[in-house]
Amino acid sequence: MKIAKNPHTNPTSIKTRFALRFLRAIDKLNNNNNIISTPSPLNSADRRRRCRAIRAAAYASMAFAVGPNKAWSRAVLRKIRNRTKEMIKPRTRRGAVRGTINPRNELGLGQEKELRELVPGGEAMDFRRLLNETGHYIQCLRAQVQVMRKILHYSST
Amino acid sequence: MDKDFFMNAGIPPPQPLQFETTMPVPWTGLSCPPEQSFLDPHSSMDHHYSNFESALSSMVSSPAAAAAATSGLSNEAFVLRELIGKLGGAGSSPAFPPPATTTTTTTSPFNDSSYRTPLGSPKLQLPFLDQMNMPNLGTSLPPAPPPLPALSSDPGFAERAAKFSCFGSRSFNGRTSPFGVNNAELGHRSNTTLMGNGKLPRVSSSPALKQGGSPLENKNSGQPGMEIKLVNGLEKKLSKLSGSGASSNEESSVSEQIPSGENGPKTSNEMSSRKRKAVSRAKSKENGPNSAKVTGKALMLDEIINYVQSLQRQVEFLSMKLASVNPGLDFNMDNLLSKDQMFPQNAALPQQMYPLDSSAPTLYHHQPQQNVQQFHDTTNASTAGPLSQCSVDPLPLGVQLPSADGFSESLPQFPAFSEDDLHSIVHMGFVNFPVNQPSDTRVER
Repeated sequence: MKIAKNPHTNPTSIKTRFALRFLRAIDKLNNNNNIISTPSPLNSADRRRRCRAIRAAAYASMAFAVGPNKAWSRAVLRKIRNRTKEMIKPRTRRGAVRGTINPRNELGLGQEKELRELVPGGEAMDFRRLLNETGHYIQCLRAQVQVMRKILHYSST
Repeated sequence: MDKDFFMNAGIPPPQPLQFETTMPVPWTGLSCPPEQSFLDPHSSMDHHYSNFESALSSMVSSPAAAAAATSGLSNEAFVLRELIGKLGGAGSSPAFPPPATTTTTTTSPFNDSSYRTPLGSPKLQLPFLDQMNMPNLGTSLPPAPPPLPALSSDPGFAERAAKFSCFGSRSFNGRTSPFGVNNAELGHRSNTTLMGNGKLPRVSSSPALKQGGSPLENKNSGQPGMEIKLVNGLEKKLSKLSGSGASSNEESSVSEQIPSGENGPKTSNEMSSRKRKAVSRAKSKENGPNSAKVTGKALMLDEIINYVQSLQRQVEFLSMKLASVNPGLDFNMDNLLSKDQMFPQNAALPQQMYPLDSSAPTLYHHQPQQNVQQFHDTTNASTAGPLSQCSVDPLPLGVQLPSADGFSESLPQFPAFSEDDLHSIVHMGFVNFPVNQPSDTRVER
């Protein structure tokens, strides 16, 4: 059972881990851009690419910070890995493995399906587990948003 | 503590012109009661209340002397919110509509008598206030120009004010983004002191206490409170549906406030309205029969889905902002991490993530060097520093994950770097870096 440590002083909190990784990732992005000597991405295409890159970095950093304990983080890491594998050896994309959706809780409104689509790795687990994963995922998303906001704040001052 | 109160209450009057700086002083005296009042609402509330009024009167006199109409109104808002937060700890109370009217009297700062009378009743129905009147308060305040940044520029004051004011900033909304982010940061920092005590109030069905403990919000005042309620409802719902106690963990570890994000006002408004509905449904659901539970579940799922979507949208928005901000910036991590209290430097690298403990501090210490030297220091090649940085390199070059992260045992290994990535690393000056031997990355880290 997790003891609720104060995340401000707890050095091993998810926020700390996430922030460290994320900052490093952004650093690397910046340095890559500088070294490859792209001009500052004022044009929209560059900015869009950079935005996607940062977003992907954010999710990946969070997944790393969370570790393999949660199904959704494992799914995110798997996705990243698969993507890089595909970049190394481009191959035909396999169809996504869809787990059986438990009909017990299907309310006919498509919400469960939607939730499964939202939460990474949500396809292949039962509803109960999906809810647990969703809860944790929401917490991590919130932490992520807070950290990103802080980073933005500090980098703009 | 009562002595502190009176002491601090006595300090402010002499310097009316330095209103902003004197503001913090009386608040420090107020710093003690909230925690106590939340935990002991009935016993000590009246006590605090009388202290409060004396402090308030002293504060009232000084801004009246200052006659700063602009700052007066905003301070009024501040004071109002703090009072509301205080009184919210008292628990049950009749409605608290009068302040909405007092705030509209913009011409006179701190109308002493009219301000005090509603507070004369030490009861405040906080949930009602929260849902109904804060919007009114918020909307009544917008004509005030933004002197708030001046107030909050004193970080100590801002922190203390954030501690007490439960609803913050419908009026602060959308002023300046630094200010908003500042509030988020304040909200974040100051929240845990109250939240730390507040597991019990949070779990209890009285969101009043929880609201009272909420720190300053940076965006829609109604929404973050709603979000907390939503998460509470979500977690209660999760525990009911899943039948496990695991969700209570989530509740206990959720100790931060949810900043409502920088979505456009449209989305946040609809989010807040949806969340208000969700909260009411969640509350009714718990007492309702089974049939109602089924439909409630659908609605709950709706809310969850919307919330997750909104969070993801916020991440996207923030990443877009970061993308536009960053390119010119030398992202000095050392600077950031030292500034940011959240990330203490000495324990920057959590041990469990790096199997080689000895490498961890070197990793961290190499970061600023690398920033400065732009990866041209070949001595860094031997350390695993850049490898860790290369870990999360998204789309263009392919993301390579350092395999030696703590969970390498559980995850199968994969090629550490794509060709492009390796080439770029070589470009950076790591001539010695073995390009095609992923196993080395493991060893080095």
